[in-house]
Amino acid sequence: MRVRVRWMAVLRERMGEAVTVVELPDGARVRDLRAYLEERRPDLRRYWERVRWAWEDAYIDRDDEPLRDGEVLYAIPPVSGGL
Amino acid sequence: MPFRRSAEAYDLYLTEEALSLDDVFERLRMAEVGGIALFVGTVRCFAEGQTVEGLHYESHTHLALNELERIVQTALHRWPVRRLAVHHRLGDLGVGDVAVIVGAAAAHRGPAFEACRYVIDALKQTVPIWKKEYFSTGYRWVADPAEGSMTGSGDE
Repeated sequence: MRVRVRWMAVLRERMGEAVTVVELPDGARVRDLRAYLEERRPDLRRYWERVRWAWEDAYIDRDDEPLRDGEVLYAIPPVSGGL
Repeated sequence: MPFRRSAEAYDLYLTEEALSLDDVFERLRMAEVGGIALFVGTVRCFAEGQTVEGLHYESHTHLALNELERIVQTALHRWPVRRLAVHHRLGDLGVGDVAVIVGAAAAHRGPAFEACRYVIDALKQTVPIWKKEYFSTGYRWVADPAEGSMTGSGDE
């Protein structure tokens, strides 16, 4: 399956692009996406420890949430809104 | 491209235009209300021992409005407040500019203060808005995990 990952804020700069298409085995879950990134970009380990995943309209709370082919996921680094 | 979500009990607004205290105040003023607490976050001229030259706020707006809605719903259940407003600035800001306004209107001052405090604190925890600080020497993303110990330490 393929998912599109949209990188937000500092992660977009670290990745050097706004969107990355990631190929994962069918049946992959959020934790598999994380494992893929840890292996692919070990230099960004601190980000993978802290990143939250989201859809367009909600945070994904479960690490075992199944991914769907073609869906868009948002990679949310630690937030810093407000004053 | 401002984004607004309004209902009887709240008004949520994300915009690249200047925020207006008068606008927030007028949205909260009503006959049943006897106390309005307003919190205003402004751009400070220093951070991490350096002089701040400006800021940039970025957001995942759809998710941010949903998270803000969740936060104000929680506050509305927890305190007897009549209406809440959260206006947050996006894009480029200069020193002294208003970055965020949180307002809480209630019959009495206690719940207004408490709900206002709760909303600004919760906003900083979960709402997907990011702050980039510009210095003469470069910039940094606040709460950048690569900076380690600086992350999540109270007021940035």
